[in-house]
Amino acid sequence: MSLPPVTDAIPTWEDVARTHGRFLYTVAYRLTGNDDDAQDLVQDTLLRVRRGLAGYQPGNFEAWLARICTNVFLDDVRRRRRRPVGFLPDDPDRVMTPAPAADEASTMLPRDLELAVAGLPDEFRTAVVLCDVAGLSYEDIAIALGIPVGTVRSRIHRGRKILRAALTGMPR
Amino acid sequence: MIDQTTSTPCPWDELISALLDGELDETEAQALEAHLADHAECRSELDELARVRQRVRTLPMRSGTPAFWLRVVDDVASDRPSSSPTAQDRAAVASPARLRWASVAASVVILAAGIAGTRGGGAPATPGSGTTASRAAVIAGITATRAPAEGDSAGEDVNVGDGTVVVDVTSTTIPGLGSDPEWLQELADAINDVLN
Repeated sequence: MSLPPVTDAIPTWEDVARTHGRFLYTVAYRLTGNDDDAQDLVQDTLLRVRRGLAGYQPGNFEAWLARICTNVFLDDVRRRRRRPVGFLPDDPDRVMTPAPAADEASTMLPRDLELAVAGLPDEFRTAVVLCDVAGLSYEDIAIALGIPVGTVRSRIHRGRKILRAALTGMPR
Repeated sequence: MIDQTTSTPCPWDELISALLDGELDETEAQALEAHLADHAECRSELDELARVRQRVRTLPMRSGTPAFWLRVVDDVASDRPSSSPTAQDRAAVASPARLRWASVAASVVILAAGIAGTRGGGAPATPGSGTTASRAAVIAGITATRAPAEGDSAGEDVNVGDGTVVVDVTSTTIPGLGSDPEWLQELADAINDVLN
């Protein structure tokens, strides 16, 4: 691998939006579960990049971006506790009825799974989204969430079991 | 070993997702695979979670609407967080007409990918330097150029008049933008809504 250029600078927010806008929007959408909150999250993530608060280190760019996005999301959750859907976080095999589908037509989308992901408790959803949507390694997820790798492993596994229960419990 | 007929999770259970993700070291993976060879219930669990994992990984990507990107570009460039009153108002209204898009010429021609590129005679335009238009153009990878002057052969196949801004989207780099006709049309509509 070649050495990075001398100016291996922090990517500008324009670079981020231009090159990784869809990735960022997708991660934001899966974390929040709806377009309104995803839009706010994308905006505030780009703003954090713009303000140079992101602590960029050359490496896995999308892992870095997903980490910022997740941190902004969790900061907001802690501040506003606005999760619209929730159920017992300590019982991964218990499945609640998903929130009603949004108005948008999405007949081609696997809506049941999308709702099940959106309905995961925050700690499981962040781990699953970072793993299966953002494609981060367990180590990168551990860094992003500030938790041990063993906890990442546990949360991803439990999150998937909740999703499995949600999907198999649905009439399909 | 626990009784598999009970609902108590097998102690190997939690390693199953890590195996699927390639996150076990060789020793762990071999031990788990040996266990799976003898335990149908755990194999079933592996298969089911593999399906869940695959389904989540193949959920469609989301792009956000062009109107959103036009707005957010302006908000971020202006250092406005989503919680700012201005940003909230704009998001709530969700109308591109609310965008500040100053000093742009009267009409815009959207050239879809593959139709025409930057016109030869067109100097790079700054439709209102520092305005939403130019920022949006930067973000979307759009090259905005002044229409070629009358008589410029480069403009033959595009019906544009003096002062028209040609928005060339052939080099857009927001994923999905360059290849999604509906997204392009939505962008064109959003821009024209702003201008008209």
